[in-house]
Amino acid sequence: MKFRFGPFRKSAEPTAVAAGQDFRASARRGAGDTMRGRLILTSACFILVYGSIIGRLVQMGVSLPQESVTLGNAQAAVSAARPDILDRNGEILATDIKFASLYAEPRRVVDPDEATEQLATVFPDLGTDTVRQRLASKQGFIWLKREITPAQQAAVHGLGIPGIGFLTENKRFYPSGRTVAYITGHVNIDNQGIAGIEKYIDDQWLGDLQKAGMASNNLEPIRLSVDLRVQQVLHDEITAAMQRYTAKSSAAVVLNVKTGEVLGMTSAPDYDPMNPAEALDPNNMNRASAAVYEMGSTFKIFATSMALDSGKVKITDTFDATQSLNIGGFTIHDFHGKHRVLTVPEIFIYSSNVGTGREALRVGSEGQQEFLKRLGLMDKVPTELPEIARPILPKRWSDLVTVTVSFGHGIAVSPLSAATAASAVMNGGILIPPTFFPRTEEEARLLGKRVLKQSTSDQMRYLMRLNVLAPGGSGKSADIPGYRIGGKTGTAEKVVNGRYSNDKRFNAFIATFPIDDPQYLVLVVFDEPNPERPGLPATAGMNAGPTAGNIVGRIAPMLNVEPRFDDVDVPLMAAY
Amino acid sequence: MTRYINALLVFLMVLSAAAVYDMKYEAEIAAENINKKQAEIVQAHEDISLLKAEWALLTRPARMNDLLDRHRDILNLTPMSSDHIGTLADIPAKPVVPPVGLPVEQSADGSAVLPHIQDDTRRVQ
Repeated sequence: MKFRFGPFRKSAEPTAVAAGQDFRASARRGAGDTMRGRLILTSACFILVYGSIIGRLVQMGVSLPQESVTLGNAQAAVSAARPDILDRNGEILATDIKFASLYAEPRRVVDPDEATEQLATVFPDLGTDTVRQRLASKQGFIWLKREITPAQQAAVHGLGIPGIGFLTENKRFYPSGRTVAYITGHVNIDNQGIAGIEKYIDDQWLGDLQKAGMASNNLEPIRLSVDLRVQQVLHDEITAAMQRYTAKSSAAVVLNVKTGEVLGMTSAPDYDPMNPAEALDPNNMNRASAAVYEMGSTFKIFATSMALDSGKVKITDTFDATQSLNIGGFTIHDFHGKHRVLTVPEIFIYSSNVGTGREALRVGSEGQQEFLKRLGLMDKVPTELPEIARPILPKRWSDLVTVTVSFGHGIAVSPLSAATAASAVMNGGILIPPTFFPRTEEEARLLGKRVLKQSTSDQMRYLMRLNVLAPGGSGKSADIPGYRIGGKTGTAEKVVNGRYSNDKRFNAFIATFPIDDPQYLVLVVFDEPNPERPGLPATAGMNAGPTAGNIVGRIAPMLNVEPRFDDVDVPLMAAY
Repeated sequence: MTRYINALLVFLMVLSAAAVYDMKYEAEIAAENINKKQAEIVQAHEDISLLKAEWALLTRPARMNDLLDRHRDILNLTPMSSDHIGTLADIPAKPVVPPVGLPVEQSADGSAVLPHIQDDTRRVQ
């Protein structure tokens, strides 16, 4: 004892000597000294013990155990949430569904052998040696099985194996599947958008948000301009018509001509967005916006409006269509030749190639190029969808090219592009870029730019209606009483081995309604349709026209277009 | 005196310790309840979104179309066409209903019974 307290005694002694106190006093002080030393020792012991306990507590509190770190990473990676996609009426087009996935933390697994055996009672395929070895390893986190059913989850939960748990994973679900596949697009296994609007929202903001780890489960749903009911009608009619006319493919677009909103767009053959492998088949491509075609006579809408808008051609003018048009060593024929002098409206309704060619020649190649550029037919359609094709333009613009382009040969554009340009012709001459998101008329007015005179648009509306009403008009087959449809057919010959083929056709129909104040535009295209019955022709008036009419008849009530039976356009006709 | 004060203090100390323990215990229970409720809320949200997805799946237009086709004989529905839509002007004016208890005029041979209508039709129309 004395030995251990040496230092204290040593320091105490000089004080005692200096004070010069007697023996008894110094002896008493010695006893007090010992007491104090013991106290200090004891308190030091306590401080040490409690200090280390506190230190350890702080240490444990501050640092997270490593297992939960890996688990946290896994949870963040799998719950890549996406916002719901709704149609314009709030119907769900795409949503996230949660699936449970089974994982293990091998470090926490007490008995890998027993765990494997127990798991095998629920998942027989997990009873292998590989699983046993993985569970026996020192890893922090492993996946055992992705996307298990709630029943399986309950069964595994009931086993109560330590170190085995569940994570919920998001999986994209498209309730309407094929019907809207070309608009919504689809996602890959990691829930990242790889096509359609899904890709667009990823490119715009969602991808960055997910990278920053801020994509929570409560993202605002995204509303599209698409109407699911219209989309269903398009899909239904197009699929049925494709079988009826045994066409190779077909597509349809419905646009609001006043706002540029796409109300529906579909293409057939289609694919299931829940099975993205189908989308890889080139046969299932989006033909409405990602493919280009020579649109044929529907281009006469643009040629005629170009001629009228240039001021070089008046609607009362006449053109000689008695004979075929010889130009650049080629002869242009009329499909339904009238072999007489035709007025501008007659050229339009009889779809005269010769007459339209002569109109285009009067405007000239320069004017034509400038006009097509103005209507946006020479550029990619400026819209949100990633799958947009560039038009294929003629390399040189000779007079021959000017003539062929006027009736839609020698230039290939996407159906969406043609529909957009035709909307501008119909809505009073304002070109509005199409959109897949809701847009009001005011917003559209700010975005739109005038490309045609109002008077040209009015005359074109008259011609489109005349084409449906007049005897011999090519759009007759699309007429639906009450909805005042205006329309133009297009039957293009397809190029086979470098030559225009007589029996392979590309048919199109552009319909707009109600013609006195156009609101909607429907474009239907068929690639290589066949006659419904042998002996009938396979022109657009026989397939694309009636299909477009059916579509209008079904969607007009949905779009609140009021049918009227007093023929509002008759006075207009009488004016000419 | 000091002894009583001390005893009182000891008693108060024990009491406050018990109270603190009780509070802590209650706080733990409350925290547990909050966690439970939050988990329930999350689960309810998930259930709602799942049910919404199911509703969208069951009411998708393509399926409704198929159901209509299958039960055409019972439902007796036809697609709406333009002549099914009318305006208020197409509806004839409501006929005037005679008040109950008015004298009823019989035609001469007594075959038909005509209600006696007062001449206030113009006002109603």
